[in-house]
Amino acid sequence: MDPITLETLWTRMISIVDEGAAAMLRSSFSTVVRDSYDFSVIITDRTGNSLVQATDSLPSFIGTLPRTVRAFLKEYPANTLKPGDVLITNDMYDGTGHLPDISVARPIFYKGELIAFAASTAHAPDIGGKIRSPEPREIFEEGLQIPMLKLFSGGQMDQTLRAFLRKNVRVPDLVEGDLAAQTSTLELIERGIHSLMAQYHLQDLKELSHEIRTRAENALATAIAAVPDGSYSAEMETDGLTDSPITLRVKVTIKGNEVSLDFAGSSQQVPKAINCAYCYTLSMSAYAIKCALAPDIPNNEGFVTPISVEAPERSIVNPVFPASGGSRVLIGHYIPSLIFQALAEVIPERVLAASGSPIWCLNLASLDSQGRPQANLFFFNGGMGAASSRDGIHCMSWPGNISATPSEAIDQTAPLHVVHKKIIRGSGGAGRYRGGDGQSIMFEYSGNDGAAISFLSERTTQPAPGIQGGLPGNVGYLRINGKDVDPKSQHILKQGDRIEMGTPGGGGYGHAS
Amino acid sequence: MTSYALGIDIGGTFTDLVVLNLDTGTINTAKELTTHDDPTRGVIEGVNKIVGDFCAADQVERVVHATTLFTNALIERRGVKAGLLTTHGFRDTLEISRERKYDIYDILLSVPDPLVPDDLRREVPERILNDGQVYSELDETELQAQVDALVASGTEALAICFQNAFAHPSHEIRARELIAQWYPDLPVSLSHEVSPQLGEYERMSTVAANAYVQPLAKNYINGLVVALEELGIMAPFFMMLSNGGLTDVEEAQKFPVRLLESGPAAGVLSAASFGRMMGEEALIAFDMGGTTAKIALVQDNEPDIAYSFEAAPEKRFAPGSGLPINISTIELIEIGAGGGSIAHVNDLGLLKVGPRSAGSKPGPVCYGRGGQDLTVTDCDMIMGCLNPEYFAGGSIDIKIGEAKSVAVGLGSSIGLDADGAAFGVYDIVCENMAAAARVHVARHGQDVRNFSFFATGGAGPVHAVNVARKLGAKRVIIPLAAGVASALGLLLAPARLDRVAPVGQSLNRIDPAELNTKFDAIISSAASIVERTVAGKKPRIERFADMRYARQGYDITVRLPDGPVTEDTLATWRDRFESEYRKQFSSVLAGQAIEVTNIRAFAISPTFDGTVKLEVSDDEQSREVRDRPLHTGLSGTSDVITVLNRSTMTDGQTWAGPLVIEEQDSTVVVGQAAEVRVDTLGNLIVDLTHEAPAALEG
Repeated sequence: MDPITLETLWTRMISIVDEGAAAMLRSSFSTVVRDSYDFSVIITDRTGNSLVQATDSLPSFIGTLPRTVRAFLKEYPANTLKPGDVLITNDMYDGTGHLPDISVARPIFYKGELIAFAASTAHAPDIGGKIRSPEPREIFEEGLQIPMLKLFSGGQMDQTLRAFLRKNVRVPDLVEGDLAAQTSTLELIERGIHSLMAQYHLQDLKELSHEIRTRAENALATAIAAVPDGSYSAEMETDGLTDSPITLRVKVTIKGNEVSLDFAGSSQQVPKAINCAYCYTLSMSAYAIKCALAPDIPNNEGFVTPISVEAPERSIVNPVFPASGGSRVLIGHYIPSLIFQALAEVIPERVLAASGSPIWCLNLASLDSQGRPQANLFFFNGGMGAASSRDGIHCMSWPGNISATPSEAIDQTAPLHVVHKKIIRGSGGAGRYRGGDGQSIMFEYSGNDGAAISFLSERTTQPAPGIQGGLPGNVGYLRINGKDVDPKSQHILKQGDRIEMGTPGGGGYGHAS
Repeated sequence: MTSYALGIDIGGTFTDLVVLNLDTGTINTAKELTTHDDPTRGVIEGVNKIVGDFCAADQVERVVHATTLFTNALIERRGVKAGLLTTHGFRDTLEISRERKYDIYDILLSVPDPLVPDDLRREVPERILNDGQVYSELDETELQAQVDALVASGTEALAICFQNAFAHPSHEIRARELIAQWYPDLPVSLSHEVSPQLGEYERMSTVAANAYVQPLAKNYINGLVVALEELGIMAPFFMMLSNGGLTDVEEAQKFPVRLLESGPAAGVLSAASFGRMMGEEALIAFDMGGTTAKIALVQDNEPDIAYSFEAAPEKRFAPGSGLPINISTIELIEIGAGGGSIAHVNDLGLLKVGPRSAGSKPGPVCYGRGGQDLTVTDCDMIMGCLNPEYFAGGSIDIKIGEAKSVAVGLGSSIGLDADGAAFGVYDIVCENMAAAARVHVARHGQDVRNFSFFATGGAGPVHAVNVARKLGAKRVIIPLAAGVASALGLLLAPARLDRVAPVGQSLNRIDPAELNTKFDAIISSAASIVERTVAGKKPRIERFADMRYARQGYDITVRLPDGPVTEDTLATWRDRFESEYRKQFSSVLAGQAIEVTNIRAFAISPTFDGTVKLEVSDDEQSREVRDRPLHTGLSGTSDVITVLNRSTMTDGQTWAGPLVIEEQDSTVVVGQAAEVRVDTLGNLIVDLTHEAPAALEG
């Protein structure tokens, strides 16, 4: 394919998927989608290789979603699919590593042939089960599991599935509303692809897919080859469970134009919901490599296939059924910083110090004044790690890309109001460049006594390390009515309780002068 | 006595002026370089050229002004020292912002500094909750202490943003009353007035920006009005708002943040006005200049309106990297595609164009002013689209050989010769613009084939036909006086004023009487200013409702039937909402409750009903043109093709492409499979007659 046609078609595909993501945002119902952007939209080729992703996508989902499409294809081979079908699942291993993320994919046919899939993952405002915390020991405690099913068959919705889903979640209208936003987005993308096919007289997308992937693979190979060969290792301790830390280890091996990662030596899986399924480990690994080596090129499968990721089975980064994983981000978000720490030995100018992540989150299950169940989740970020040429940004999502919910939206949608939300000055680590600062958010609970609250919170004992001599950031803290509480357990609230989350600072870069 | 209207548009590079004879429609134009140190000077020079010769100062009955000065003040951080008062606990909101990266892979990304620095952001104890309950009273003693401290640190303008003030503004209002007693001359902007919307970060960002430019706006507008009066122009002075409405000096000085996009808005209104004169209701307004291209939609002769805007992006053209500003603006997209956009080959071996631009300094290689990078203009020269001897009216000595050798260098790395590389650049920049337009049209649920393509700006007509073809549009219009389209738009646009009032109720609980009271209030407010603008005419009123499914975060604006709300008309609201919803999102949600968030109305009154005429000099009419070859990718032939002088083309004749049409400020390039004519007004119309290789199938 000539470079000009390729560039034209590629740009057009990105505009189609961006358009889909914009429609999704505008027609969504939950704050988790519209304020936090906890969703992604992609287009894959007919075999499930990622072609393009919406510009506003999450590092995690763009890695997991193509795998989900390929898993769908195993269960529903091409000859069992027809126009108007929409597949659905929230499987822990074939999805994103935890149940709240619902993935859907729509096969796209052109002149009778399967040519592509439009696919989307979004974090549902609720998935039933125990409100999210690290407490569940098995996946069965974590809510509804949706097997790989057809949500739509030839344009007809499966009403049984719909009824099952509604019955099992606390906020059925919101969950169904977001799901409708997802599925109509896929339909809009299908329309866009159809008009592209007609305009350029294409029969299929095979050649385009091949070109996009091989160019990406070649660019990545060139970037890898520029890094000196060798094995680079790093180790990090996480807060882990209340009583025992978790160890993460990685060895990054560069050989010619290939890169392989091995997580051997990392802790075993645990009977708590922080296990990070392989799909998420892979996704975070690919994200770190792309950030360091090829940040400028639109992402696609070509940036994932050349990276080999080994993670021992039954380890915390590759758990097996029936492990629980609702809070897998508490492990997963460490992975890019871990890989950067390893690469700092050889390409220090292309990595960041550790950020004040994993992301922090508040989960609340309560009853409204009429006794109806309500579920809320709100995200908050710590400081970003410092880089080789600038200070870390205060309160910035990394490696995720989840926005905070406006305090006024929290006030409107939850029995909480935000008392303050302020930067914890000086909480980033010192260095030639300082780590970004974390923030303190205080809430007052105004609902009826007896609501359940739980958190995602990490780096309350293990600070974000600096690199190249930079100092670590401050650790985070979690308090109810001024007292430190176990960040990994569920707590019961009464009216007037004050909850304070203090997110960690990022690590510094280089020795402070 | 014949009367005239004067339009003044101050842009980043040029200050354009147009005088319109309101009886005959004849226009006279002037173009001055913008005088950045004192923008009024450029205006006076321009006024001296056209007022006097063409009409007497006292014959000017209306002045309409648009400017990018306030936008530039935000970009260049040239505003005043502004202070910010927030609810206790929220002084860091501007700095914390959205906590989200606009580019997920860029570990070095930077975010804009807040407009108000740390030491000028202060807190006051007060709190009203979402349901209106006063959780803490406004602490007036502490308020005074904080305002004293800010004034002592040199604060020249003050913004106040309290939590939930969008719905419950009483503390903001009380604070202003008190501050007016303590510091009567300190300008105070309140968040609920500037932007009555939920979301403290965006609202705070908007009110901070308003305070930041307010003293500048006040001095500048006063100065300009006085300068015009000294020239004998005593006519009422209006300014264009970002949403295309007109406003008076008082409102412009109170809410300068609403003027940020006034210049581009005027350009789109110009398209809408020409559409009205020509009987074209649906247009894609396309303006391509030196650095950027702007694209906007006009439907039913009305530009589309957006309700948010981003100023001063940290990374050019990267959405999410700027300062969010909640204002209504004519919805347009801006992309980094202009005559100066630079071509390069990326890591994947692909040819890319822009967004980096060579600007006017050093400019394209062919200007011979030290430019080393191949630009779109260079490629236009190499391909024969532009006439080197008549570029910018012959004022620049074009070095085509230098452009070619740079093209050879770039092309060799991807296996193309100079001609091939030039055509590649041309085609890619056109595709970039087409892609942006396509997303924009799709976002409105429209079919691009139903739109005519309306091209202005120096580089617009060179690329418009090719872009239109890629889009599948069937007609391209290049209006007369395309080079001063915005200034002309100021005069042709109807006087329009928009007002909005919050509702926040479920559709099935709406009480028509209550709604009519709200409608009456906003309609009389809008109508009174419009009546002042266009004396003696009763404005037309249109009504709208912002609606959504309960608990969604975004509204859809739905046009309502004219006249007061009754039980009968209310019964049609659900259908109206759902039909619009289906258009945008493909399917509706049966049974979900619908919420009405706001009602809107505007008053509108035409200011000029006639048609415009441009007078062309004799010199230009007698200028001879020579046929020349045009790249085969556009012309389909290696032979010379017809070149025409636009000023000699008259209505009643048609010409078949390929051809090139030269005029003073631009060049129209028409490829194969197109037919060209001139209408009675002097506008060029290009009909794309055949299906070309990359056009949409029927």
